[in-house]
Amino acid sequence: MDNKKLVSTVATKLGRTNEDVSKLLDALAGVMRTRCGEMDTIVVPSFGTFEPKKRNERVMINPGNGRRMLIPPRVVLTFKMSHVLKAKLK
Amino acid sequence: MNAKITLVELTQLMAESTSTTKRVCELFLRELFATISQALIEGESVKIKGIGTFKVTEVKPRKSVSVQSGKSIEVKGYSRITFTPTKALAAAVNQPFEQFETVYLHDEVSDEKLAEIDERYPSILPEDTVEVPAAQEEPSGVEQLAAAPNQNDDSADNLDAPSTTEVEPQPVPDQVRPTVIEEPVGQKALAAFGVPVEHEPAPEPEAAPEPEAAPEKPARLGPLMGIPIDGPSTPEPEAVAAKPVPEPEPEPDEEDHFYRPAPRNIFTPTKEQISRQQSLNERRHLWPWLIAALVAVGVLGYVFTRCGGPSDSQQAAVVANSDSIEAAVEEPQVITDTVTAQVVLVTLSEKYYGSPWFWVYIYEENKDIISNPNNVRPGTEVVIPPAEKYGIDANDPASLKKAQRRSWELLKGK
Repeated sequence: MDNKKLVSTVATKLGRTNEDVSKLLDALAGVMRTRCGEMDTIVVPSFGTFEPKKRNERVMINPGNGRRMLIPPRVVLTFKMSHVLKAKLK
Repeated sequence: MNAKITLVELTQLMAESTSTTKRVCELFLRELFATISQALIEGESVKIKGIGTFKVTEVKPRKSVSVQSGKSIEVKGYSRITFTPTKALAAAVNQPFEQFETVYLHDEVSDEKLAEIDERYPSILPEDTVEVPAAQEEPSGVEQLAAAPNQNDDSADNLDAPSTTEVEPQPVPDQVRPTVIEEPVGQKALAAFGVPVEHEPAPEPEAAPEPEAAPEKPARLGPLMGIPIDGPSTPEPEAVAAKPVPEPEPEPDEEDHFYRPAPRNIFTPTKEQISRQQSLNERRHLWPWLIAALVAVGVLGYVFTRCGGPSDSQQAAVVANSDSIEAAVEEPQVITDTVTAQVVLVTLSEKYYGSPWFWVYIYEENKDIISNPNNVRPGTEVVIPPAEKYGIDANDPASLKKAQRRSWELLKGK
């Protein structure tokens, strides 16, 4: 399901136009960018949790040329699905 | 920071940013995530603009061993959701660490090695520091060719390094230099004796008398391609270098080193000739040549100081070069340079001829020393042929093309 189909599906369910829905979706993305950038966790009930996590720096070997390289530390956004969704998936 | 944002707070935040009611936002969020969940349950992956992609992956059932009983059991298969944020979102989240980049580690550079280099070259940046990281990458021929245009960047890093190698050998040709190969050794040997640089004024008187001396030369020419074998002018500076006589010269024989440059006008000795010549004359006539070598060092020092030391690198080399041309009165110059881990044939070609493609000619000139042009041993002293000999002209497309064709042929033949 791509973005277009998602927007139209949600729009028909809500009885709103596609434009309205995509605006709201953009707003959601904006909120996620700012709040997750501040290391805040977003919890959506019965769906899952978006949590930024710090990954430590580490040394890795480049499989292409066998040289060792240092991967810098970074923050990644992880998603963990809720138990409700997990149960439904099975 | 590290706060938990619930759906209520999320609707609040969204309502603020979209200037709609909380009610609308809440309905939207519920519906949105319900739709995504439904799609995921159906096994579909969902792509959301500005957020990311949710994907369902099946984990197959697998066999395992129960820890308690030791019996083999089967772990049930299940579905897993992977979430990949979009680039924008990932970058926003990673913002505190965005300045870091993945770097390769130089394992071969140890603290001891660095300390050793510091000890050896206390003041200036030495050639070796550049060589150490570079040493492990043996550049192949194709790489050399490809990397040639970039070599400038490299040489910018070690400006000091090429200048020292360059300035040293070049002033010498205007002195006595029938041979090429062992000369730097001789220089060093002489320098080791603490030969003073007081001979500085030497070049002027030396250059002037040359033409007058020339007419007398034929009388003294030996059978070996015009190298005078009798008389005190015969031995070569290399002989001096090989068997240095530490005693100071009682009286300098001026006449002798006026003769010396003259023979060079008419021949270019080969290596065999030189070595024969050397063995013949080594012992007999050391003295005049010792003086000559002293004068050579004097001139070297003179040019060196005039050029403002090694840090002027390229400029110094050019000045030294033109000086020596004037002094030598149009004599064919024999220029040598040393191949290092950093300086390869292509680099030398770029340096002396202005284009990397002319490395072929340097190789051909030194075929007997270099077995494989792709892998010249660092420390190899190579002769840089004069540009006219092979019609080298970096500005002439025909000459360039010819050199390119030659190098392709050579590499193909390998």
